[in-house]
Amino acid sequence: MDRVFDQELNELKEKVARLMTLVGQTFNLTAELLKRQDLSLGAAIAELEQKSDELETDLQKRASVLMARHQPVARDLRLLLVSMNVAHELERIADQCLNISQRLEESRAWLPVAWPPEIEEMVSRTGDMLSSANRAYLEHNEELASQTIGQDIFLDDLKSTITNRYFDSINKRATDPARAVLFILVSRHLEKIGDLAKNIAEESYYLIRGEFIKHLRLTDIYH
Amino acid sequence: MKSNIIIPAGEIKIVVEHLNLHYGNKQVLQNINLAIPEKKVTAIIGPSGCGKSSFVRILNRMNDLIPEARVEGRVLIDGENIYDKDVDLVALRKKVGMVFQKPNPFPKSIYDNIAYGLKIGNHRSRAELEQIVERSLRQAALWDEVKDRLHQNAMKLSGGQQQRLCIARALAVEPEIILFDEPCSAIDPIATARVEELIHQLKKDYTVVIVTHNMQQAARVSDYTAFLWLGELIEYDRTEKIFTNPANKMTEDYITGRFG
Repeated sequence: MDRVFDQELNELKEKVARLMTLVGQTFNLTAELLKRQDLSLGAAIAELEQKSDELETDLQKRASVLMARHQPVARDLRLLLVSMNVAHELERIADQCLNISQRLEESRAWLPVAWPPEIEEMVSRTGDMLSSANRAYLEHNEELASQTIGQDIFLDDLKSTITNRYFDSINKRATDPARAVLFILVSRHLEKIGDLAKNIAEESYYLIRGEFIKHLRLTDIYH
Repeated sequence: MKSNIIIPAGEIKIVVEHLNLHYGNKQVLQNINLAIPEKKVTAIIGPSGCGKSSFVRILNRMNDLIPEARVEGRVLIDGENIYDKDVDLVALRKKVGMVFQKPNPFPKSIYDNIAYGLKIGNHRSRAELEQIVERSLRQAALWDEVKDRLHQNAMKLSGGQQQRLCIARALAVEPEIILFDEPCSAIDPIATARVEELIHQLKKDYTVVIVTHNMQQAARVSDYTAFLWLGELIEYDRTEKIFTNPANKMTEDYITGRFG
């Protein structure tokens, strides 16, 4: 016999899945914006970000009520805690997408720009991380969670490459500073999305294994 | 399973080894092995009829009072087997006090409820008795509520106050271990909160073992939790581990309300 609480937990998980879809659409639109540099997409990104905020708030309220009413333990407790945290990270990812859109809007005068190849690679890797982190949560897939966590270092490296190269070029006056700053900021936003996707993967790992792995190095986890 | 924890030898108060309990032909507890730490609260949880009350009654030989009860194995308190033939049961039950499900004060005054046990076999001065009564009532967080009516009949106290009086009575003889057998099942939520707060205080000086069917209570008050099912110890671990990430699926199913 299913408990009422099971149904309520499933509904909560469905809400997280809807938020994942919404944030996934926001990210895809942002990737499209970066590719086409069509600023008209900004309005749709802002609208999706707004919807993400509303859904996340609704989800947090629902989760708080479930916590108070059922006082869950063990895997129920972990699912509730992790769902709340994952929802928060997703909402922040949508924020980062909106930030990218705003950076491009602020740079309207310099568009179109030729993105450095690292930015294109970051978009691709970030999208993959977000997708695999979401699946790790939805499918309780420990392997996907671990893989996602391991991907973050590549984004860090790409962001550092861009930051170092364009700070250097600004110093040498080799690149238009406005464009260089745009590249650095966009790379930071993308790297931040990667961090947040990694957080979702770490939360998923806790959901599955009941072990906190935040702030651990991969070698500490897989010794 | 069963026990996932290793308690340092110097911190162990009670060791239960290969314990079996039979009531006639019925085996109630099966090969229980666990170590209970000193000055901590250990909760025993499990569905009705799993043997949790029978287990706790093993610890001060209350089962001796049940005809056809037969115990195998060893229960060591401070290294001494309480089932050895030469054990002084009065001394054992003084060392291992017990508080029951329903408050069971004597139909006497509040003062006498505590002083009565002290008078038996001991010649204490009135001043000594008064001192112990006050100390026990203070320890049980009841003194402020009854200090002006110590000679009133204890049966006039509320259920929660009666239960704290029974705790005070158990404390009066200076035990080292206190067994609580579902101490809050007959009292209201406010009285329950008081008793739970009291248990938190008591563990500074006493080893506490509590049987409870209330999972949230076990999670709130205990440091260690043992899960029994059909007379078997399924899992025993730190309470925070049991209630966030139990090792055994049966434990998880039970504490999340999926069976039991």
